[in-house]
Amino acid sequence: MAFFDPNNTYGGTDWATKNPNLPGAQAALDKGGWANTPYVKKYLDPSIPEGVFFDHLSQRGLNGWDAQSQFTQGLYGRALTGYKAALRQNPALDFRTYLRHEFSVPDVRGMFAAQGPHARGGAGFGRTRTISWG
Amino acid sequence: MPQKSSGTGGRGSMIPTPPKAPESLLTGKKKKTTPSGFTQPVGSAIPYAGGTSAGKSSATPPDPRSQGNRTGGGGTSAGSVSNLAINGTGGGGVPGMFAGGVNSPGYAGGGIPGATGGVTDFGSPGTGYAAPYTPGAIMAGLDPSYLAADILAGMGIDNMDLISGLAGTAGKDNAIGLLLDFLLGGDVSGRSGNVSDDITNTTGNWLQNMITPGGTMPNANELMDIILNAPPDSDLGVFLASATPQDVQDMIMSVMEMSMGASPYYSQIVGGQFERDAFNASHAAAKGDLNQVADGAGYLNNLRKNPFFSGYF
Repeated sequence: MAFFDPNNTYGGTDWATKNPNLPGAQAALDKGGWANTPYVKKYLDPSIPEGVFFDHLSQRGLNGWDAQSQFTQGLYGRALTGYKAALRQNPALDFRTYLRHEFSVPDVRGMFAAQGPHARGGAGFGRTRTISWG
Repeated sequence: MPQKSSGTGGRGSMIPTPPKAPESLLTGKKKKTTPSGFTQPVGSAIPYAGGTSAGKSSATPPDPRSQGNRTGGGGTSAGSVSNLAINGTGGGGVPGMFAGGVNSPGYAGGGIPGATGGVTDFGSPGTGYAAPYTPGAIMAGLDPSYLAADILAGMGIDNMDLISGLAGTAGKDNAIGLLLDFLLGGDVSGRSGNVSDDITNTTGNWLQNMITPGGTMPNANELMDIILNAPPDSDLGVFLASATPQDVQDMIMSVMEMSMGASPYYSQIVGGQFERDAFNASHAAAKGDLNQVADGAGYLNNLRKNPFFSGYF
């Protein structure tokens, strides 16, 4: 179970299925519906950055319950902070583009691998052994 | 590290310098070039996206400008001719500014055979998106919310938030439609139909493009360049010089929001910048400084000197 399926239009193309001759209907069916419209990408996305973030992760299979996905989903706040820093360099940068730069799958794997065993799923979690010398 | 979005860079900063606008965009002669750079001959066979005029019997109607029947009758809906020229860059999979064709039976076909559409004939019926509305409503400047409501109704959507949100993308008082009409519509003397009708259709096309998957946006940097560097004798230059500072602001803000809609933080500071400019002007004028901004030309010149706008975005 996941909270969001990037391949589901959630009813957003129903109107196009029912009225295939309406303007934009074929484009909606062929090109993914609302999510791929300028209105959503340019005007809606800036007001729902958390949705942009989760969509970005979901497109990369990181929307599940496994340790790596959970770890990545917890980075939203830091991602937004990094985006605002990058915005100082390029005022036209949008959050989605920033995520493509900094949150690719290899990037995320690297971040996850750099964590301790606890963050990576609890492996090795247990009593600490002490080694004494001499 | 974020990449430059366009342009070749300049002024030693990370902010890209926009490319120069094609001359044809400024003069409106011969060829129509969309802000996205696609060039299309006037009178293209590509139909206007919603203006299936009843008077058109061929997919490639003759250019009425060359035939001199721009202002009158003869079974050719003059209003559709201008639309053809303006919107000849869209639809049908052509890589124009508007990717989505608008051949809606619900909005198309306003043209009436024999209808006249001269520049001074404001009583003729509208075409395309303007068709359902009275000439009076069109002339008064049609609220883009009405167009948005029409377009969304075809999709079974009557959500007022969405209607007003979509209409908002056209900018205040149809600023986007007005600007694009200037750029794509050619000079006024060469137009065929009712200019307000054309603006309504340009705005309608804009809104339709907004909700068409795969739709494309004009290059905001190019549009900004065109506004700030419009030759004084061009249509746009004449308009900007005679417009009020508020009109100039509306147009620039609408263009900037195309790009800076991506970052509401910048939209806020641009708004603040405009307020400061207006305050400075009125402040100086109160002290008797008559050289301060009194009209759009002066205001536009001030904006050109403003470092904030020098690199665009």
